[in-house]
Amino acid sequence: MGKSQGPFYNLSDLVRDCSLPGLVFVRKPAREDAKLFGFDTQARILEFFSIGEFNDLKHQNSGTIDHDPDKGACFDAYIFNLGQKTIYCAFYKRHNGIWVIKSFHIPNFGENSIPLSHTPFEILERLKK
Amino acid sequence: MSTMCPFCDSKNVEIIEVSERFPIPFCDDAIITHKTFRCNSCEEEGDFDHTLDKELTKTIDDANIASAPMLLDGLSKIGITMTYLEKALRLPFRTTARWKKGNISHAALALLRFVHFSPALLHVADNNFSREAVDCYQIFHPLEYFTKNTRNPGLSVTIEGEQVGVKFTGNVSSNATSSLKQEVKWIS
Repeated sequence: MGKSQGPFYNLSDLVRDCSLPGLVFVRKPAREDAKLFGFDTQARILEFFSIGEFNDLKHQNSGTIDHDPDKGACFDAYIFNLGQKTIYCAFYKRHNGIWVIKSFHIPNFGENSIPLSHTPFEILERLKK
Repeated sequence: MSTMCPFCDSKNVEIIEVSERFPIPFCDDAIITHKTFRCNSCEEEGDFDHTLDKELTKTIDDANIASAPMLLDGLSKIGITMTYLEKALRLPFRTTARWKKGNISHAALALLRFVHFSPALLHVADNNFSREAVDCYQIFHPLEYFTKNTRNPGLSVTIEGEQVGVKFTGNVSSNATSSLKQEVKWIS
């Protein structure tokens, strides 16, 4: 995925559309990750987004999707706090106006990621790369 | 009208049945078999028309509510009567009888889970959340945890001027510390 400036979208537009049926969908990997935060279904994730309460919201990065069918579409990624947890979420808008939430997980890097001391085997994984 | 995949616009979409695991606090995970859309073009799965999640949500809710009698039985086993629970929480008597029959709200189930997690909270509620009851809970609850879950538990108290420090030490035998920071501070 190419990276560039951003954000490209007005987050409040996504928040508004989350309460409207058929305008926002969550990809399966993001849904699976969201279960770790207690969001069991797509409906529950969208209900949360529609509240629009993202504590300590920070724009993390933006870029373009590099695979079909949405190649070239811009995405925005944010991090925010929910209780004691930090969440990284990324989303984009398709050519037909449908929003896609593609990521919803713990940040992979930075001060909000899981400390390596708590995941010792990840050190080995990173050394292998 | 056929359902379209919201991720790739394909109409090559079918409804399949999948089994998913959903955690139920203090119980075994619920394994729920439910319908979902599958796109045979991009292999995405999900509720493509915002109709299927309603049924799934209800099934998950039912599985959670079904855990209430087990939570109440757990409290009975450690000597907490339902009458005491209702009295301590200022609930109308016989409320828990309704809970046992599955007539329990989300809020009441959340409350019940807190009580099951830490029955000592009932003592605090029973004492009107008085300062003494809260202090007693905050001091003795960590001590109880350390006594139950550590080998060679120890407690030391330091007093420097107006500052009082309480330090618990022990070899933790559960894996609970993997999610904790090295040092936790709290102020009463």
